[in-house]
Amino acid sequence: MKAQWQEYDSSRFFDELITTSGRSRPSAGTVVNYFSSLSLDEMRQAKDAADLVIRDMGISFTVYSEGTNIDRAWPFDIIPRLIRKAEWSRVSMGLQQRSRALNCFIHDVYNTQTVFADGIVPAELVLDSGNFRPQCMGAKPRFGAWAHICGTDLVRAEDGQFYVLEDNLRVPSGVSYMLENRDITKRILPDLFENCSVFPVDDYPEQLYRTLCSLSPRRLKRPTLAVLTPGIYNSAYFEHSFLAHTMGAQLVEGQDMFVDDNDVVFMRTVDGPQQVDVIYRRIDDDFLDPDVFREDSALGVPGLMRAWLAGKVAIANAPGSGVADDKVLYAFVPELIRYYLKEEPLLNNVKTYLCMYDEDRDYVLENIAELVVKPANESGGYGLMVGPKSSKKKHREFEALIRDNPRNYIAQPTLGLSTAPTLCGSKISPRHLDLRPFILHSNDTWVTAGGLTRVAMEAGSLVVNSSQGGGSKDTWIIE
Amino acid sequence: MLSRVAERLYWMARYLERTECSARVCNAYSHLVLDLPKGEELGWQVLVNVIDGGNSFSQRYQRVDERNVMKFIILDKDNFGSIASSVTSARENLRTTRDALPADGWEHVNELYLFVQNMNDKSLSRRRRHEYLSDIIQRNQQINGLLASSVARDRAFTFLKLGQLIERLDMTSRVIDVACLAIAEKDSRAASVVPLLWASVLKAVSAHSAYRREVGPLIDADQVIEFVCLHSKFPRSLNYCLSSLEQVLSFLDNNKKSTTIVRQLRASIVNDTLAPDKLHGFIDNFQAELASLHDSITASWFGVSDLNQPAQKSLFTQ
Repeated sequence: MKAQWQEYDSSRFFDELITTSGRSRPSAGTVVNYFSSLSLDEMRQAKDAADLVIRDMGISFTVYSEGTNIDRAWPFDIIPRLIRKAEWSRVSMGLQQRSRALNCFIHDVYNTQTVFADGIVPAELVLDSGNFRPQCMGAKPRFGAWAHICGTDLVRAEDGQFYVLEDNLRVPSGVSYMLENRDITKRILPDLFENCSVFPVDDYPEQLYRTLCSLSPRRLKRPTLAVLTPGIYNSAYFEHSFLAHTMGAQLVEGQDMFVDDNDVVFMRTVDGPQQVDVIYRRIDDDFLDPDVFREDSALGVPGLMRAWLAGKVAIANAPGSGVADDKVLYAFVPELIRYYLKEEPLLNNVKTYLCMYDEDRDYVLENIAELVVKPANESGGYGLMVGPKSSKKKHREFEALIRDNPRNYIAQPTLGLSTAPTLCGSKISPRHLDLRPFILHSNDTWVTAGGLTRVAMEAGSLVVNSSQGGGSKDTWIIE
Repeated sequence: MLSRVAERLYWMARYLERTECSARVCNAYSHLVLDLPKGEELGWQVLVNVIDGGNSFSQRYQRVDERNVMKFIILDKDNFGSIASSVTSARENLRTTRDALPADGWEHVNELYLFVQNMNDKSLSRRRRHEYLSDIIQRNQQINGLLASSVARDRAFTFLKLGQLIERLDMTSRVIDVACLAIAEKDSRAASVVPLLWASVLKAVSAHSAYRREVGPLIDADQVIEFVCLHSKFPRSLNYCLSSLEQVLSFLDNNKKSTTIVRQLRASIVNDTLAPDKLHGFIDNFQAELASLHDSITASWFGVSDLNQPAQKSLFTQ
């Protein structure tokens, strides 16, 4: 092994490529040998080549800072993350199962609400949540499918098992980077790629296209699809444009569309108004329709909800889907799977303590130093406390917060996220990572082969967000 | 194609064409200045007039001299019609519509933008100016080459072409108008420099070598005007641009009103109206009709526009 692999410590956490005794995991042999045979210069050359590809292909994400937008190059690590096919099949089944159950739940909440009557989930917990949209009551989208595109965050813990961290059912992003990562690897490591049988990921736009077309209210060979973006200043604009482009759909902004008196949605084109059948929206519920949600929204289309409720247009994800994307509800997902599907959950949920329950609250207050405490209605890691990494003062502060508003807090055991070898300066070091596969759901359910692996580039850090210096890796599903 | 995308492509093409025309005019004039004998200078106000920036210039500059005028036309970001502003606007319009063009399109426009951003007062010195302006022209030609050779003749191309042709008509007619007025002001003693002045008009619209080949080396005011206005095969003449416009419009539905205006404009260019005493009135009218052609295009294909183009108005009515 070359010098940059010396001191590689795979003993503290589960490592994706290397066992605790320092050997490569089964089926990771080819990849580990390949990278072990490269000199530091060769690795740097590969890294430079990757950076060049990223610049040339214009893969970027936008960071808004000091009043101007900076397009940053996409951060990429050249060593792929591997998952064995057999293992992925099980995870994939679990994800499909989860997606089916969550869709049943959303449909139930906005229609018959048997889940409350049967005492599976307390009604007020859902109905008082900010993610519940009373405007969606009675809606019946085709196939009972609401969350058509779901990005589920998975992590692997010390026991080597995958756990679901959260289900993103609103406007999950990242899939374009998954596709671009594969493109980069093929360009810079063709010799390695050729020698491993890696399952392809590039059928995603096609699958997304099929999923969206299946929702079209008009039975047409080629329905009109529109990707609704908030515009160039959104951090995921690159992805919006990428997906529209690869699906041959129109990339529209709210101002490009209008709803007529018959509840039909049109976009303004140079050949006159053209009817829109399916809208893949990349803006939040709040901004969709100023007639129904936020009045001051200039991003949406007045009358869009009216058109959707009348069944004249399909919206993916359906308005109101966020009701199942909630940290408190998360704890109930295994029960929802048993309730709706009469199946045992295939994927692990992280043990979650709901501070609204006395017993759970007592446990959390006693063990706060060991737990991660999260507010229920925040996302993106805001207002979160990691017990083992926080001061006693911080612990006291959160104890008070929990006592004041127990409904608003959940707690989970601190997970030791798995690591993978990552090129850091002149060394290969273990870095923590997560995984976001994407699940498509309409009359059928489909899961990407792998997903987007995000890496925390700082030693010991668990922050994988690209806006905060996180990187990414190509994810290989291999035999 | 979405109306918004069409409108942005149209404006992008206008801004780029404006950039190229302005660069050419500045270069031609800078050369002319070197050739004119002492006492025969035309003054720098002429250039400000060509880009129709009189008010905007006098609001911010005290003296009409070479330095100020060059700064105003090339680099001044507060001047909506300057080269720097036009390039920025072109890029902004393409940022959200880049998928409509081949990938190189965005790269070239972005590079042009970065190039102009890196220019400064020093780039305006007589020694460097020519090189910088030539570079800007070349970069525009590169973009035009890409459009000509790699863009499908679809909606995107149609609207790019519309923008380019209208801007070209606007700039060419203005150059002729301003030149005529400026030359007419010179008294008869300056007769020896008049051919020089007309030659620079030809250079400003990139017609010098075509004129020499076709008409000959002797430069005559009437023939220059006729060449630039009426020539049927020179791609920057008013006549040629109008005939191209008519052809481009024929690819679109709902084109009746715009086509009528184009035909009327074309019919209005006859030798009679090009006589020295009528020319200024003719061009005034021509520019007004161009503005209504723009309005007609906006109404027919862009619909309700809430695009806020900084120079949208000033390009016609400053």
